[in-house]
Amino acid sequence: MGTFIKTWIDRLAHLVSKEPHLQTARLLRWSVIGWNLFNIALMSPYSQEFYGLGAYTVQRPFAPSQWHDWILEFLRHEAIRPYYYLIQGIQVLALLGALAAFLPRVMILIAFICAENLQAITQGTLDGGDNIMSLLLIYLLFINTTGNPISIKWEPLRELFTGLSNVAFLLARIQIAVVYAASGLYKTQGDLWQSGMAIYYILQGDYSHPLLRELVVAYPMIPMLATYATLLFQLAFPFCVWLRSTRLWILIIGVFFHIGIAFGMGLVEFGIAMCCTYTAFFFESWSVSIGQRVDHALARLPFCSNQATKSDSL
Amino acid sequence: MFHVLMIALYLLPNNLLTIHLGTFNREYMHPFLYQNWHLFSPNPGFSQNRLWFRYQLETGDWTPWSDPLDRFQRAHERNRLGGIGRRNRIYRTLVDEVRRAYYEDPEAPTTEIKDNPDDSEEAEATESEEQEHQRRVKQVRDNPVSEVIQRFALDWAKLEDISSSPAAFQYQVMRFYPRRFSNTNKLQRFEKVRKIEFPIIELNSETTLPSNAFISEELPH
Repeated sequence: MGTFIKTWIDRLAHLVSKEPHLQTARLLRWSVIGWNLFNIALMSPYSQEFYGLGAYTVQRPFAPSQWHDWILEFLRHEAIRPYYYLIQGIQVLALLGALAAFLPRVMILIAFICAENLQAITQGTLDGGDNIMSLLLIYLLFINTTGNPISIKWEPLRELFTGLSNVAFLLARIQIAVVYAASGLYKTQGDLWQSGMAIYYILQGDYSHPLLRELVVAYPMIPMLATYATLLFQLAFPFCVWLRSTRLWILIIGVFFHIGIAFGMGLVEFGIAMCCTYTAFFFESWSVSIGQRVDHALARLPFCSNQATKSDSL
Repeated sequence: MFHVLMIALYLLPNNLLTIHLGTFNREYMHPFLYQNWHLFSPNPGFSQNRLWFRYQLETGDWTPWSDPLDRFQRAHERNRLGGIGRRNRIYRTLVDEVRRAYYEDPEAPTTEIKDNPDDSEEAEATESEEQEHQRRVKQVRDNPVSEVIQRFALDWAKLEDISSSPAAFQYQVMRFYPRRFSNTNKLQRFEKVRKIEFPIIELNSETTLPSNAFISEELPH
């Protein structure tokens, strides 16, 4: 019993004193911000169709009595709605600021609020990629993503922030694993997933590429195998991703799986979003190596000083 | 630990725990931690819903039915990175909204449609179905989606150079069911098609086409 308690005390001390995922957290920030910028770039040619007053969407009106409408859905307000492009502009600036590590937590908070407001009026177009990225932005608010240890001098406060950052990073990882666990378990309840024909019908639908549509009709065994492989992958991911020996393999399979979704089914934003989340599971040694290469490349750019890649102090 | 339990509770199907802690759980998760991972589950929705339009020209002739999404869909198939895919979801949502407005009415008596009704019941059932349809059409007309459809229809007419001022237009919701995997007829793409036809909407001479048609022009034909 004494050993058990001592082990947990040691773990707790470790949690508040060390930051074992400094560079991985930094890489996660880059990938989440990068996806958000990519998503904005994809949608920007059609901004008016998504957010404009004359968009082809049925909107619920702004509800002043609901507190969260004032924070996350104020763009529904008819006086603010015509200025949606300002919200987009602020979002882009905040994302660029966060990418450059300029007050990243503040910038991420601003980007999150803008993203939620824009999403609120395009709810029919959202997918799991938007959902996981919104959640990761929340976790990033608590994670030290600067790449440098927290430098607060007063030790209790430093330990508090360090512990908070480590816990938030762990929760972000758990959240990503939950996506697969929940989705896999829901799928096991479906007749078409059980019979192995779910992918056949998915690829007959609007999302599919015509070539894939013809392929699954010609060879129905392929979608059947793909259906069971999908189930196996989604159910295995939450376990395999925590084990050092299987992590690399499950991430590689995941990348192929999501690239298939992105280009085969046309759910590009979702497929790429899930690939971006995998950076949370990178080993610290990989992240250090990637971080060094990026820093080295940035240092060569004339407009990018060393300060840009260094930490914020918030 | 508490946070992870809350997420698990939120995602679990209804059980004793979710019944007892549901309100607290929802208050914890909403609005910031909302999540839904029903990705093509428990079963993927495999039918395709489309909106088809046709227009009456000044001459009184009707154009053939056309499907605006078809063109956008082909553009998305050619270039997955063009952002068109997400934009197409706006139009899919529009169809879903129409269907929701059409079918939504908790107070309506349910009409039981039998597989093999005898002759005397068939006539009665047909009349009942027609009345049901008319009532549902009125539901859609009274719904805000009706105004959006009209705006979209007029924008589409302008983009397609169908008419500068069509006299009327009509739309229908088409639902395509894909060929079953057990169906060996390789040439048949759809097993069956169902449609909900809405009445003709007359446009008076004062109805002008919107000057800010949102549908982007650069899509290839």
